[in-house]
Amino acid sequence: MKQKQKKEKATKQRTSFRPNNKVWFAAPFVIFLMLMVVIPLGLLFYYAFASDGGASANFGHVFGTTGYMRMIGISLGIALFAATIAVLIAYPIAYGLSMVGFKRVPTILLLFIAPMWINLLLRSFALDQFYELIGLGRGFWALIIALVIDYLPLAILPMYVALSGINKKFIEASYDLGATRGQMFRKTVLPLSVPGIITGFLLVFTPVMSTYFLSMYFGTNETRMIGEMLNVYVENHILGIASVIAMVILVIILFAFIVANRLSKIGNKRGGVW
Amino acid sequence: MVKINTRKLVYTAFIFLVLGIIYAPIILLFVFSFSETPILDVNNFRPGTGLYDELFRNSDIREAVINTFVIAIVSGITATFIGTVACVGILAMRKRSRGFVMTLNQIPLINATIITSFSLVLLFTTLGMFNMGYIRLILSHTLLCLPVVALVVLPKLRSLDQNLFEAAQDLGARPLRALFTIIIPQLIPAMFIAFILGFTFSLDDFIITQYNNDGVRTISTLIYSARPVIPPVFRALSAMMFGFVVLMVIVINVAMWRQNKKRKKLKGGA
Repeated sequence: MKQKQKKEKATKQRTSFRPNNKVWFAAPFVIFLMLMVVIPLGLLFYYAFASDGGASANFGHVFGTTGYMRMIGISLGIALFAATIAVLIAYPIAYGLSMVGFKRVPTILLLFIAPMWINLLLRSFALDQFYELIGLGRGFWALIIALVIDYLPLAILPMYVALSGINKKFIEASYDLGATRGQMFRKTVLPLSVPGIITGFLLVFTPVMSTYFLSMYFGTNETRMIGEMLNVYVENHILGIASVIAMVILVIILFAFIVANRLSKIGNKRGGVW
Repeated sequence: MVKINTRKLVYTAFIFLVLGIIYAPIILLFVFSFSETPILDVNNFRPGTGLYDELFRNSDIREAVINTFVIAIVSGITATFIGTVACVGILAMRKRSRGFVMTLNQIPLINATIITSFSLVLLFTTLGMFNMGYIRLILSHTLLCLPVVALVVLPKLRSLDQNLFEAAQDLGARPLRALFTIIIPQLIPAMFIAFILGFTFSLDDFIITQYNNDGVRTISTLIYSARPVIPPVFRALSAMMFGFVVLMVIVINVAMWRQNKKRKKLKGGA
């Protein structure tokens, strides 16, 4: 018994760093995150409840204006739609890159990420000129295309990681058991890539939900999104109401993450390959 | 065999179609940066380098480009350094506190950028940091780069031989010395990837810069203030940035190719 414990201890020491003074190397990192993440989020709540006209005035203004509720609905709808389209385009790309045997996968992935090195505003400017040339006016579709183009890489990467991590033996096994290619995909690859799909969806949904530059630039009055409203209050330094709007967006994103977590858990429970 | 090839062809066609749509506007702007017409007009292409002359003469744009790159490089390096050193500490933590720190690390990654930027406005306002645009931008861009550093470096660190650090200490090296001579050199490839990703986020950022610049001009704020009619000189700037991207893609590819070759050679020799 004692020997076993000793052995366990020995393996533990070999496989992981011993808990000792090395923990302090993380101190600057933790302090930085506390100062730049936790305290600012706390301030958000503080300003929502205590600044400008106080909690009732701030919350009353946001929840009492039907225009804002409509904008929140529109933002939610646009975010769900854009994220769905991005996933539908990104999935075949990720599937092709991980399953079909491309040789220069890192280069192709790099080509998808590279436009991010050109500033968002410059890219939007280019797209706007392109729209002008092909005669696509501002509005819903101009906005959706811009959003999907901008956030597509964020959907491709997690799905590529999920798909390329699938053990190829499962696929061979399903063929050995007599599955057609369609059956193999539906019952093996698709369920195993669900976590990647969910992550990709969320990575597009979150920034679109709160976008304001793209919706301002490509949208019309019918597509006004809640991020634009938040921006107006921030630029005019009405911090209380801005905090309330930010809290609303935060709650929606948090809710999306909880739903996503549930979904991937259900997927896990169904589990198994067949 | 033939079937597989058609399948690959279909995927190749789809991937290049999507890439084509993504790059079409950028390439269009690149082509028209050599035309001096005020708007893009296919029937009226007046070749000339007038836009580039204007770009290089414009001191506002030069200042903005320098600011953008200085901020991206400084915060990328700072974040890579803090993050890498922290990874050593995080790995030494007990499971519980490690989970806590990693959750903390993921908040800015998950959270909408506009909320992060706005909460930073509240922080800087509360602290009374005014007229310190540079410091504010470097702090907030470091935050932008930091989460991805831990995510990239931690798995790499975990795969290293943990005994080396202990061995160095047993041989009399202090923890800091052991860190810099034993651990960090092995992490340099991972740190480089982390830096490039952070650099990307910083270059692409608009909202954090817009809210926290406090008078410091970057490419983002310059174009934002030029709206709604963006002058044609920005076509030349877009083209230059596109050239930079192409150059980076080529450099990274050559680096990957050379590393592969080296690895193959090593394998062949052994």
